[in-house]
Amino acid sequence: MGNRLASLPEHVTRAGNQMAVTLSRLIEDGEKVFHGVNSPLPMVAIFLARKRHAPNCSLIEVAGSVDPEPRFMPNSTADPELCHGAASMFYNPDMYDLFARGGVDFAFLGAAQLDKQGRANLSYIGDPFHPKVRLPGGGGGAVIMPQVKRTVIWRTVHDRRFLVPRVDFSTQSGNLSHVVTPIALFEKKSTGLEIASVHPGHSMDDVIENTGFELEHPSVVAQTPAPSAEELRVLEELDPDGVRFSEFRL
Amino acid sequence: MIHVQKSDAQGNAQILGNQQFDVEMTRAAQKGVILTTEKIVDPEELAAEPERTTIPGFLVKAVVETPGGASPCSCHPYYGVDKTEMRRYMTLTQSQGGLREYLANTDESHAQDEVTK
Repeated sequence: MGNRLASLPEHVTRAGNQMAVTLSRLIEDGEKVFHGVNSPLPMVAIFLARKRHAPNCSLIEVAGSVDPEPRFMPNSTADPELCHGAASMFYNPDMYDLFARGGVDFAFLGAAQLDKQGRANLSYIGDPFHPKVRLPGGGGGAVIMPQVKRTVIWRTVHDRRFLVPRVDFSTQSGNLSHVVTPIALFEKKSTGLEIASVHPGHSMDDVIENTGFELEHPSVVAQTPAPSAEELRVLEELDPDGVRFSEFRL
Repeated sequence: MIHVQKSDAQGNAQILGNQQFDVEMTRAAQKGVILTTEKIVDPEELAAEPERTTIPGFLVKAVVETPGGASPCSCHPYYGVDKTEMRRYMTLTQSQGGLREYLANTDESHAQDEVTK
């Protein structure tokens, strides 16, 4: 695995580390935080937050536990390793009950398409009866997104196929807070998704060119702080195998 | 169809490690459940720890003893994900021809699995 990590292109390691720390910084200390299946970057981001600025956040694992102490970052984010050393078990029905009662503060969810109003599509692309692509579905997203206090959506690709004027189908929508891509951080405002900051090495023009909906162009474009040396050190220690890079297409 | 670590011949079963959605799926399956199990054990072994036996046999239509039945995925705590085999599967199954090649060249040593109930 070490060899695979060394052979990753520099733009992937840079984007992966930037996304991991940007996701991590959105978590506030003391929050009850959830990540789902197929979520390597959020998983690493939550463990980073727990080791850094949010030691008292409670991690509710889709694997069925609370506050585990995994010995390594598994490739699957529903791996039994994510129950190792857990403070308690907390299975999926418990988790959904907690969402329904407004008891979860923060959830990371994915999307294949996303529009400015924060509607996320994980169902199909094209004609519903003859779809061009049949997507895997939203899992619990349609229940989670309107019930959790804050949702953050991430995707390791930033292009006009992802960020569209209008989703082909709205699988889930609700309390969207931020969106993190390899080049920028969006914030959901009353007007819809707008740029909060652009990652180092990228420009507002890159963002506009690769975003399929209209954006306000701020007079001064904020830059996302780069990962600090300390954040990078903890990331390396947490995830020496580079599971956080596994969502990038090489 | 779900895979479990341990069941008796009547389908009373234990999932060890994390439960995921499998227990809920047994409740939701309208036509019943087909269990594949790492091993079939005596009912007494399950009765010694009923708090771990979360699937009752009355929901189960058939039990198939299938050691290694979750491979190349994991079955905690017996085995983890077989990454090499998983890559072979993902590469070959990109095409119909590859899928046939995969099926023709995959170890079917579990094919003698015994069906009970």
